[in-house]
Amino acid sequence: MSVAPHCRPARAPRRATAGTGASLLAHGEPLMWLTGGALVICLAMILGLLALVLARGLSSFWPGPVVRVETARGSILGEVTRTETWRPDPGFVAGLAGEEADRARVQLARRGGELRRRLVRTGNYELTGEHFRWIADHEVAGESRPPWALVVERVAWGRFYGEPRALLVDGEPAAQTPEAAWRLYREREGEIAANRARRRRLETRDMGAVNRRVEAARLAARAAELKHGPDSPVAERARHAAQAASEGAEGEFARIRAEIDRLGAANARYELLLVTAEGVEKRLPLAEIVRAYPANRLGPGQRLGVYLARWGEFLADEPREANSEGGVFPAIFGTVVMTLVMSLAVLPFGVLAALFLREYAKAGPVVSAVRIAVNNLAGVPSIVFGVFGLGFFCYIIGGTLDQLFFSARLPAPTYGTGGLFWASLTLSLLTLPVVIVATEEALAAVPGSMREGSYACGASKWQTIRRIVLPRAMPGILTGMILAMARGAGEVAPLMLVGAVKLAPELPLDGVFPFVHPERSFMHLGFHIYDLGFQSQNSEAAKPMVFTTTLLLIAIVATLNIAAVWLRRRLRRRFQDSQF
Amino acid sequence: MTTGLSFTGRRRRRNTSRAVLVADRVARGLITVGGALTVVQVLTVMIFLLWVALPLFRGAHLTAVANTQRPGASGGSPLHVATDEQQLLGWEFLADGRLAAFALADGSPLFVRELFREGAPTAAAFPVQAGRAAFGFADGAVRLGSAEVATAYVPEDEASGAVRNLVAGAALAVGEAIVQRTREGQLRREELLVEIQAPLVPAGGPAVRLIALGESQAGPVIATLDDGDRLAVHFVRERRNPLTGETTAQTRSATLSYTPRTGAEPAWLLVSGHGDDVYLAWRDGTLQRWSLAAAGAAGPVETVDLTPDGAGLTALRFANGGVSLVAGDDRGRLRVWFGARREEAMAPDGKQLVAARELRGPSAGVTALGFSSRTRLLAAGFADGTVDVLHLTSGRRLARLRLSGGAATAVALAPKDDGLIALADGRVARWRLDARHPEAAPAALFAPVWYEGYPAPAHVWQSSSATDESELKFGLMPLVFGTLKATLYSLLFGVPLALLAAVFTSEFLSPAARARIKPTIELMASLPSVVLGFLAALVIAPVAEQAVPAILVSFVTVPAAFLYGAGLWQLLPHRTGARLARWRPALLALALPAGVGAAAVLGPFAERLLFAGDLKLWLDGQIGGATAGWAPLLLPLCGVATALAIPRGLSRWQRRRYAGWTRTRAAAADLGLLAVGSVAALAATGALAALLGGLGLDPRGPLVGTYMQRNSLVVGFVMGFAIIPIIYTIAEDALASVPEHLRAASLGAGATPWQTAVRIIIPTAMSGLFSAVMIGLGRAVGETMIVLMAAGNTPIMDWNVFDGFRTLSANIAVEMPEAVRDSTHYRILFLSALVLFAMTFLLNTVAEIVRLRFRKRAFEL
Repeated sequence: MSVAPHCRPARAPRRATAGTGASLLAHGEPLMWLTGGALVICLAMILGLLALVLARGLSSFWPGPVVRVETARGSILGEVTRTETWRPDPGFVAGLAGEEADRARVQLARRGGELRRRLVRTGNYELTGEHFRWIADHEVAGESRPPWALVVERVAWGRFYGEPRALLVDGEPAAQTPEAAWRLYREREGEIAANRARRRRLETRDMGAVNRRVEAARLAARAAELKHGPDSPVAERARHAAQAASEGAEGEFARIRAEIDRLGAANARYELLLVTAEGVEKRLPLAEIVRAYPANRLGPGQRLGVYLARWGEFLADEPREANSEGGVFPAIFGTVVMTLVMSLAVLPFGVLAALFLREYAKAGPVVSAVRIAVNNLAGVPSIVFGVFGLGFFCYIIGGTLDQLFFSARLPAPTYGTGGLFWASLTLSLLTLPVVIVATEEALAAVPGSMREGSYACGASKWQTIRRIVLPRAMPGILTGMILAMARGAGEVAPLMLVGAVKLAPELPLDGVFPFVHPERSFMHLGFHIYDLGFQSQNSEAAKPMVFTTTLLLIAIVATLNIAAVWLRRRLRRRFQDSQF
Repeated sequence: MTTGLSFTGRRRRRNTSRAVLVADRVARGLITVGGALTVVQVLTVMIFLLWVALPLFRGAHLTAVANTQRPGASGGSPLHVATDEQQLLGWEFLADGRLAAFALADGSPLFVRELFREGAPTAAAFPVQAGRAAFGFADGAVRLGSAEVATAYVPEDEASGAVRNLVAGAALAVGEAIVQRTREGQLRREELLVEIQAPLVPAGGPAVRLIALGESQAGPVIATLDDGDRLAVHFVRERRNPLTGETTAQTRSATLSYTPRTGAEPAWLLVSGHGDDVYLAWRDGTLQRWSLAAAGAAGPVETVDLTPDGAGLTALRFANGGVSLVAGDDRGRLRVWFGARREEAMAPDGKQLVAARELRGPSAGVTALGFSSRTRLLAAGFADGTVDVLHLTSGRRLARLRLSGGAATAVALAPKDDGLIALADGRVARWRLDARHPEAAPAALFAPVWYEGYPAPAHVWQSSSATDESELKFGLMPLVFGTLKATLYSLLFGVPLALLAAVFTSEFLSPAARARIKPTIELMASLPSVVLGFLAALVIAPVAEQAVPAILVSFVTVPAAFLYGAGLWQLLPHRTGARLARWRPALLALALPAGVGAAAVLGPFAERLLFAGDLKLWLDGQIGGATAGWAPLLLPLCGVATALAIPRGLSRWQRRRYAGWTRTRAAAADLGLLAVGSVAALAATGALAALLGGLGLDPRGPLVGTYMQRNSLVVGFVMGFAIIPIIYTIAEDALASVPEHLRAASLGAGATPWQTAVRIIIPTAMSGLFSAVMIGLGRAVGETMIVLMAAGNTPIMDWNVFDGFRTLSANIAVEMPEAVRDSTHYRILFLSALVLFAMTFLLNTVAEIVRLRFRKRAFEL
């Protein structure tokens, strides 16, 4: 290891030039500052970016106050999401009416020719047709924080802002004051959430199970037709079975639907009567409310409670509202499973290839050429691997598998389209060079003396590798694998082609036989960011989600990287200790 | 090994156990096979990409299916021939007003029908894109008609025995229809339905000599030339009664001013696809155009000679889409003409007919043209019996065949472009056509192509269109250009920063600080690029849009802040400086906010001074002059030039003078010199800008232009996050691996650390630095998510820093999910992946070889 010289002017030849001007030129101070400046800029970039993601990601779930703003065009109620200033055109103030013009002039004078405006999340989409509104400061005639302003997160339609007036049971007011309504709401909250969860379970799990049975019978009939011919008795029997299954399913469906209706009716009894800033009354069935809180009455502890509850929902729940609300659990799950399958695929092959190159292949121009090629593969754009994965894995191998084993489902593809398995294989190809290079380095770092000692004791080559070389190299191999996982977890471009989707109804691992479904498409945190940031219709509302997802992804990738660095350091120390 | 003497001379007492030997053998076999396979797998990627992309460049494939005598084919030359999608039925319109349908398999007639009670039409038109035909009659009447194939499935029990015994794929004529057993085992019945509408223009005028049909959005547009030399246009409005389902047509007619030429009869009348132009052409190649869109022009707006070399015109038809006019002459050439909007157009509608391409056939006259109804494919029959299959956009000849029975009187392409039929001399010949990928000639992919309606040949990428009628444009150059643009701007930003930072880290930073800072910057490399792309597009781009002037100014003020910081630092007395040396990095870090702050203050000032108060309007070309605009472009250049010129001119003087001065005095002089240099750079900039502006040159256009929110500036900055850590790490490694004794020798000989770095370390590590830049380049070329999200993705060719682009990689990410497997589009995307693969593989290999050589040299030193 070389050590850079400690740079102090004091170390420069002191005797001859200290104090004279000529040494000044030799030190090249200005240009040195320029190189240092470059480093400072690089550091500022990375630290600034991390700080930005950290600040925005951590703060986005914090419940802010709700303000009520009175303007000449009515009043609005909502949360301020951001503030910006802008420089109006010269004729702008002249076009304003009376008081607004006066206020604008005052503002202009105070801010040196600029005006300020705030983006207020107003929600109530079904009433106003918008989620957000820009309010310029000069439009504001009055501003207050109503104590009972309620923030309501709903199953559909986004947030609702309003003040509670009453809580209705079976259409009759059961609590008439905001306070009483709120108390009653808190009492009923748990029961209704439980009902909702049960109903959801019925809709997805139980209905799904029946559907799967019918589908399986239909597929069996189709398979029998394909195998024995459509007129054969086997096919005839299978068709009858399918018919019977679908008839039997009708009864089950009716039973489940009745149960769902019962739960729905139980939940529909309770409604919250809210009044918006414009004075419009709105009945919200409690069944549709995910979370509600009186933002301006919360103490710091309660705020923290809402904050943590939102994080809990984010990490453990499924997305709602075109992914802009709710959680990212399927995406976390998809990312983790995909990365694990990828490492399972990449580790054996990477280690085999490295062992071959380092221990078995004869060193020569061919091996060094192969080594260069493998190294360079790490620099090939990831999208190229995506193209390869789509064409080779999905279309050719997957298409063939479908023809051979899943012909009953055709033309709907099973393996012939993007899915978790193909995505993992594609990424394992992408990360293969990382593992090969790291393993080779680790193998090379095992001192030759140890190998020779082993041979001298009479061990065979494989015994030496297995008992002496591999255990020594293991931390290095693991470092390589962790680096590969970090690269794989953050990669998005190839996944867009081989199976990441914006919304996957079913997880690739679940309780339905055969439990592992590697052909299913899956959600991925990175793709989630891309999709939310770019394909979302309500991109302003999705922004907090994008930032938190980004924070999560960076945290995962950084953790993996730091683990690799830590492991590498340990590995070095161990070797330094044990060289002989 | 198991037996024999060891060198001690004693026999080994125990043999190696069998299990160990077997395990050794198995492991060797497994590792060799597995390892070699893994390495081979790596090569598969490239081979597979090549395997998918290569079929693009193979020609079409024609297989003769049938060539039969057609019994009952009576005289009367066919005006038009067509077939159905399954290629079971063929039908032809004969000049005597009959329609003859026949089975394509054996040429046997199905039926012959008199279409018109009033006798043979005197003129007929069968445009490709319209799906129907127009007929004109001796009494001046005009009718529209259509022939369509109706498909129905016949239940097995209703079919006759012969039909039931059909094997899959076979077909049988039943009455006037044909029944075929499909691959799925069903019976498909195809029957030709012919419909002739009531006259749109009533009888009672002179005989119609020529007729043409086009389809505007409102309804059919029919042009007629009658024996009274009246050129008329009939606009038909069709209304469908929702209750009765009946269609009623209203016709409005207009007369165009037409002067007959003596001695020559016009031979072709055509209406363009959207019904906005009427063309009349003579056999000598003269063509006149009337514009129906240009108001107030009753006469022809343009007259062109379609065969400027004196050849005679023998065929003239519109291709699919009704824009490209294909003119065949008696020397076997086909020219593609279309109206392009051009500056030099004389016609009032701003269009000018241009000959975009010339396709060469054999040197025999063109006798028949047949067009595809879904692509730009064309079949042309020639007088010597040759039939060529050509593609209009790429100009490629895909196949050529020769008819045995003389020249083709009519040729047609099957609706799915999978068959070709030709009629010649009472015979019908049919080929199965596999057109493969006609659009993808190398010239069409990489050279400018003159697309329909464009004023000049251009590089255009437009891989999908709403209708079959518009032309697909597969020019890869805009994407290659976008890739280069992204790479260039990100390298301009990233390379200097990364290299300078690496020099500082390796040469001037204490080992402790280095051990902390290097991993921090390497952390940057692990940021997922989707995160960078998202931040670029949703955070940085909007902020940058607000602060463009400040950003431009900061390119000057930030380096200046560091230089002046150094100048001030030098003013410190030597001893104080030495004591404070530990704090120098902190002071360095303070210079950055100083520079940024100065930029924030000076930005609006510069905007007022140089860009008439609004940079974006100025960039748009709406306000302000050219002179001041040169300043931001020239200032960095002048700054660097001054920085190089002043030390060169003054260094001897400096060295002489400074040697006698105290350090502080010299430092003050240095600071003064810096100030003088800054002023000189500013003055030089001003002078040059005035000169260039005075010459009438405007930077707006080639280098800067209209501001888009997603632009190269933002991409360049954010791509820096992706490439800086890579370049930085490799460069720093290269600098650090310069042998320590060189450094020690240089310092020992009295050189300062700076002198050592510049004269010893950097030159030695040069090849390592080069390979670092190459690897950074490779990463920038292939980066996908950042450009996908932050570059706007418009495939344009434009160096404007403030505009976006579309790179090869982003294009693949956007279009691959929609590309149909094995289509031309799919294969072209594979080709672009192959181009990316080859580019990065080449760059990395060069870098790797240079790096290995450097390493070897460094060890030898």
